[in-house]
Order: sequence, then structure tokens, then C-alpha cells
Amino acid sequence: MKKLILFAVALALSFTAGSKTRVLLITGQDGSHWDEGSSQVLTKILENTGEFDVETDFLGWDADIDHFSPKFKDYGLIIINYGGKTWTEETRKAFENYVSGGGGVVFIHSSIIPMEDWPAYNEMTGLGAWNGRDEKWGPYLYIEDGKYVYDYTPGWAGHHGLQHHEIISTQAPEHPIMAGVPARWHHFKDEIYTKLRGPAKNIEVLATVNETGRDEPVMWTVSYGKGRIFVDVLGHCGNDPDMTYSMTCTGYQVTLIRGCEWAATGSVTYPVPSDFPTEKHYSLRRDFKAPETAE
Amino acid sequence: MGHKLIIAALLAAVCLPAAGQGGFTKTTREGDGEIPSEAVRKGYSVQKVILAQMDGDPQLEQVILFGHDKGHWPECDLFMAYYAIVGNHDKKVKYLSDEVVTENYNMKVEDRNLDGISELYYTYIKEGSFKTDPDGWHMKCSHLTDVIEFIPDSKTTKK
Repeated sequence: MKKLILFAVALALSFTAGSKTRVLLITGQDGSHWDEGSSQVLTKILENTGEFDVETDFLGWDADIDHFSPKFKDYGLIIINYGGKTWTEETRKAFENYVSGGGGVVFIHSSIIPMEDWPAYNEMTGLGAWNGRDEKWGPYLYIEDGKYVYDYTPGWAGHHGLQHHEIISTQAPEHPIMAGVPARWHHFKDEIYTKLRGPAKNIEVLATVNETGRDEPVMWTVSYGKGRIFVDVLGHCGNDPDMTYSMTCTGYQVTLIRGCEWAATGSVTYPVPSDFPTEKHYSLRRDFKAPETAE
Repeated sequence: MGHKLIIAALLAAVCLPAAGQGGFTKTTREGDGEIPSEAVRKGYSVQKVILAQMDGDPQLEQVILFGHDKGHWPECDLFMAYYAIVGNHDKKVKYLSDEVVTENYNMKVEDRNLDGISELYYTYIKEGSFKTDPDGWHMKCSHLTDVIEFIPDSKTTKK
């Protein structure tokens, strides 16, 4: 009888482990951010849900990019938290095939900056910033009266001011990632990107900020072939000094988890918790997991 | 100049109230090119310029706040700052403050004692008082306010 119980427990445990989404987190080579800190936090946020098993591929400044060749197809989700050199043609092609074949990808914060010379990467991020991007990369995008406005005015891509608290507006309340999220919610202090521009193809804006009179995207999805992509430019992790406070925002963590679920599977199961921020009050999960009373 | 510079008061305070008369100061912005190089320290840039009568001479003075970022914490941003007083026409540097750490670029130039000469007020973090927990939260610090005023030799020094 004792052996039977042990067998049942082992079976249950293996099923649980097997049901987790296997995630590859690619990070490194971002001089303006604390890659290690943000990657540790991303891992905690996801693994604390019990839904994800995260492996990290850290590309340091001395990494040989010519030998960076992960097996994307071994993973249910790829998270890009990377700011460095453009990958080799072979790796780029493998990534394109992974995504177009139905793979899930999440781009975090400054990951919309690198690899501006890779057209498919720009299509996957939808919108990008800095690194010389201008009107040749595509239009600015904002929302006005519920409609997308593609602004082809010449100019540089990318701007942020001092970090600050921000009100986030939900723009696609019917989307699985945003369903149940308040229409407006208070995000804790962060570095807010605006003036983003890019191909903006097959894009759905999920959330915006209004810093300059325009509702500009901070979270969006992109369809690339059969692949699902979630882009979240919130979640700055500074290196001046090393700080992860922007990622303590409960709203950030919850939308990130839901975005990862959606990119990996096409559906969302993680609930909008009772400690989700409101328009008037921000909410923090400083240990990067849900409090016992929140679900 | 016939005047000497004193630091009229060095006050420990949490926050200096914005009380007092506005005097005859005028807010303006001017380019770096009009500021003498002796006033510019490496790594700093002009954040604010106020034109005011600071010493009783016929010409007005530029009161200049220089600053740069010093980092970001969950509950505040920090900046390095210093202050210069420069003759508006002769471009002589009449005063350069020490470099201080502050949570915001602040300066007030007001003639609060109504003697016809404006004073420079600025608040900053007392050296060594800024503390947080290991993760950068629960910031604590003490503030100081310096008051800079030119006092004519013939008058009694005020504190």
C-alpha cells in the first residue's frame, strides 16, 4: 500500500512538472540595464506561478555571438530580454522559423531596441526605438478615438524622460491578456518609452500611456505567421544603481504572466487578482509572487 | 566689488517653506554659450537660470543651477547640483557653491529681507544621511538649506 501511494505521488509530481511551459530567456549585452537582475526577477515572476520552467541563456559582453545557436523548438516560449549584437543568419532564420511555425515570444522593455538591421525582428517587435531607427523603419503608432493612427512624419524613434508613476489605459479589454484588467490602472515608477515606430504590421495594441497628448502603446501583440508575440515595454530594470522596483508592480507582473501564457498557448488562465492596482492606488508584489489572499 | 559674499545661514530643515517676497527677480533661460567656462564643471549642464539683482551693483547677475543625474531609487531620483552667480554683463564668476546631492533641481532667488538684494536659497541632502534598505526602499535622509546673500561691507553681517 505504501509503495502504491509513493507511486501515485511520483506520478502526480511528474505530471505537474510536465505540464509546465518550458521557457528560454535570452538576456545580456544591454549597457543601460541590469540584465542579471531583470532576468532573475522575470524567472521568479513566472516560476512562482508554477506554470513555467525558465532556463536562461545569458550573453555577456564577451559572448561569442557566432556560436549562439539555441534550440528554439525545444521551448514553448522564448523571452527576449536582450540588448546586444545581431544574431547570426543561421540563428535568425531558426528563430523566424520557430515563430512563424507557431512559437510564442515575449519581448521585454528594451528588447525593442537591438537588432535594428534584422527586418524580421522589426516585424516581430512591431515597434522599435533608438539605434538609428527613423521613418524608414515605419510609422509612429497611436490611438485616437478608438482608431489606430499611423503617423509617417519623419523623425527618430524612441524617447523616455525621467522615471515616474504612470496611468496605464487598457485598449483591448476583450483580448485574453487584458480581460478583467481595469480600464485604467496605476503603474509604479518606471521608465516609460514613447515615440516608438516600426513596421506595425499585424499588431493589436493592448495598453497605452498618454505622455504627450497621444495614447501610445506600451503593451501590444503581433501575429507573425502562426506565431503569437507579446511585447511589453514596461519593466525597466536600472543599473544606476541596480534596481528592480519597476517590476514589483502587481499590474506589471500579472499582465506579464498573462502575456506569457497567451504567447505560449493562445489562452490565459491566470486570474486578475484582487490586489491588481486601480486607477487611484498602485500595488506591489515585492517578493514577485501572489500574496495568499490575492487569488 | 566693494561687497563680500557670505553664507548667511546654513539651516537644517526637512523642507524650506516657499514663503517670503518675490523681490524683483525675473526668470529666464540662456544658452551655455553665454556662461563663462570657469563656472562650468565637467559632467554638469545648465538646468535653470534666474536673472536677479544679487549684490547691489548696477548690473544684474545670473544665478545658475548646474546639475546631472545621480541615480534612481524606488522612492526618489537623485541629482548632483551646484550653483553659480555670474555677472550678467561682465561674466565674472562671483560665487560657486560646493557640489550637493538633491532629490530635485531647486533654487529660489528672492529678496525676503526686502533690502533690495536678492538671496539664493537651495535645499539638498545632508552628506552621509541618505540611507535605504538593501533593496533601495525605505529611503531616509536629512535636508539642509543654504542661503547665499551678498552683504555690503558697510552693513552688519546678518545671520
